[in-house]
Amino acid sequence: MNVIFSRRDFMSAGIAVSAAASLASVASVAVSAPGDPLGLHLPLDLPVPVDLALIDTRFPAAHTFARALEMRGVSLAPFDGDVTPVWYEQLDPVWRHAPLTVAGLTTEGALFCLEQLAWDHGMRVAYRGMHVVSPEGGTEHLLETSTHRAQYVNGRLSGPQPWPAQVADLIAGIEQPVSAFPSPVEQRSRANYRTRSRTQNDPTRLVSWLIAPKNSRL
Amino acid sequence: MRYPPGIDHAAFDTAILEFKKAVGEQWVFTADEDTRLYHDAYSPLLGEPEERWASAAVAPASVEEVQAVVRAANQHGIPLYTISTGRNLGYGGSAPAYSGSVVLDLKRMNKILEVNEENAYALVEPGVSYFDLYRYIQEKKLKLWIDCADPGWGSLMGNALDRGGGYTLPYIRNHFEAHCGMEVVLANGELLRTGMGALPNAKTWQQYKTGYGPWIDGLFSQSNFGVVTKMGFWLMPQPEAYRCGRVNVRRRDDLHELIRLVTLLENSTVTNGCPDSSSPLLGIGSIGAQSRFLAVDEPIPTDDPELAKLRDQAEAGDPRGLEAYGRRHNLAYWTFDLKFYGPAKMVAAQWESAKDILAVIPEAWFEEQGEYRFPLAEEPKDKARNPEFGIPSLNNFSIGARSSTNPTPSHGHMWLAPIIPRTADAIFEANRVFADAARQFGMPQLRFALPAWYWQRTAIFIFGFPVTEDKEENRRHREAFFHMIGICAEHGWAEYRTGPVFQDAVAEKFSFNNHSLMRFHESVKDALDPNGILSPGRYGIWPKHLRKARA
Repeated sequence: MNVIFSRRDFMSAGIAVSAAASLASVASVAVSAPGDPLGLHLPLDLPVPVDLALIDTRFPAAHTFARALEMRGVSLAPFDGDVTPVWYEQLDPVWRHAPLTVAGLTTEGALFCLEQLAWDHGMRVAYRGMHVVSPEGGTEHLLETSTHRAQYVNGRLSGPQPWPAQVADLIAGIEQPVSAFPSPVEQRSRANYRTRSRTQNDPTRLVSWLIAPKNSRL
Repeated sequence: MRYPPGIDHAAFDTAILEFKKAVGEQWVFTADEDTRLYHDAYSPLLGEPEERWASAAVAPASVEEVQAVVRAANQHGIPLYTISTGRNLGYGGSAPAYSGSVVLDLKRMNKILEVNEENAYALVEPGVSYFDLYRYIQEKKLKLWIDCADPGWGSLMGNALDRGGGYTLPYIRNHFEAHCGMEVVLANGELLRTGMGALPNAKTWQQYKTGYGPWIDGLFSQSNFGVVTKMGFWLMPQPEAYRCGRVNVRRRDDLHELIRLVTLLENSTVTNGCPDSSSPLLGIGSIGAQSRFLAVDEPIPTDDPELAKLRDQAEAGDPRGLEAYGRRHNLAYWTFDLKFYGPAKMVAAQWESAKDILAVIPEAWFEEQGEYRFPLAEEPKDKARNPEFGIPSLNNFSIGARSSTNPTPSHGHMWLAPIIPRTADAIFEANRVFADAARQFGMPQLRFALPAWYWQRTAIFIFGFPVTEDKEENRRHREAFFHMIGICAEHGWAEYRTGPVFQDAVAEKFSFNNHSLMRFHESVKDALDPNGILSPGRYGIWPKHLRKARA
């Protein structure tokens, strides 16, 4: 049975995670394109333009993920645990007017917030990957997307690159993302992997994700 | 699409068509992929057949559209379940109390109708979140603060109507108490304004709360008697300064005098922020440590075997060893953080006065915890979004995540939040009772806990019962939760608020004089909503046709 906790225990747990984490930030080298008043440049060579990638810089895996997307011209929005500034300053002002496709490698808590906030603007999670350090070594992954986009999670994570880079490849390659969450598990394609490399020793379960405009098209 | 139980399918289909006519086809949701969003993300019934579900949702953008939807629902007997933004996680989320209800989603009604800087009030619609009002105030550079719930993504109105709280001045942080004036759509579609709002061309709707005659605003909180479509709120003038000071005491029994004096200071308005407490010797941190600007150095040792032994002895009734340990290591048994908002000179004087009053406790000592001037500089504001400074945040969503401090993450939690008297005796008794109940019911042993101090004159324990992927574990947690509701009631304590799964059980405990309060509620329900269409079951109030015969 899980431990029943007091509200102040909750707060303490949050502090411990923050204090243990690196606060190094990822500097974006992205340059705004002309006619892009929001400062978000649109990558030109992706099947679906990922407008922004949110990176929790406390985790080394997120740095690798960020570099891989940055090489494809995706703007980065680094934060150090609290997703509030990125959402408040960058996402919310844009989402109020138009959809903005966003990817990320974050904690589940950050995705939990962003997913629900995205619903209000007609956006849904189209892909989600869970990544956790395996007690037997390496990293375990559960990748999920719509059953109509199974090809994007099957046969992945076998390349020589670190898994965060391969996950970035996966996300960047998704064409016409189909809304996958929330849904019953039988309506999702799921694939499990274990990679040998550990990108971190921290047991925090990380999640990679893609939030895109709601789309039920097959 | 699933139909609500007991509703004629043709009548339901007709109502859906009328909803579409009222609000536009794109704002009526019947597909599973959309209605699925109206669930309780922290549902205690996660994945079980009894989990609450919505048959459809309708999202009006104006009070006229709300009236049209309510009239159609009333005509066809369709149960509606009203949400503002549906984000009261831990207390039910956006899932209806009665499965099959059509969620009346008021998120699109998100207009900030008025903000008055000189007299510090606002008038808003249900879809306005704390972030929305904060952004508005910042953009217009108004010298006003909001008091926000934690996290701050919810609706001002929704939180106030559910009687939530915050962190600043007492009359502001009690969110229902901070409201001034309502507009309500009744079950027959009629529009009602409360307080001075009932006066045509009223000039003081948001300034004078009670109006004339019976003051009925409370009927529309934690209830289902109407759909509130506008609410006024009193805001806080931006203070010049904030100061926090800590009082530390050495002995276990000092808690009696400490709470008595802190309560006196608060009731006398010598201190006007939300007090906070901790116990370094028992390993209990303060709630505010996370959200303060500068990390507070809370010396809470955790890995000293001697300390663990002494804590056990103290909990068994002999605190002398632990108190001696505290003297050797300069650790307090109890602390209280006192917070002050106001002109810099005044908060300095208030802190000095508080110290004078608290100094009667032998060996008490005091620590400055920081002073801040407003407006804050941009740089620190970016680093800490602090509800104590009226700044909304999402930061506490690290809750439940897998980490070194939480290797078994949960899907959420259900809050058990009993109100208890504001005395040390009550705190010690509650801890004994909760520990006994845990043993008796096979629950994990609860550590000694300190309550929170959001509400004046009372204290409140807030325990999170985890919601996990394991249905059997969730069932045990629900049983324990129900059990604790009963145990609390036996001792004269009750929850200030709870989620739909537990609302009947808590309401049942308010049984004075053969449930005269509930019978009154039901009389009001039957009079105002005879067809029982508005949020059936919310806070244990059921319409006649769904009401179980009271034993």
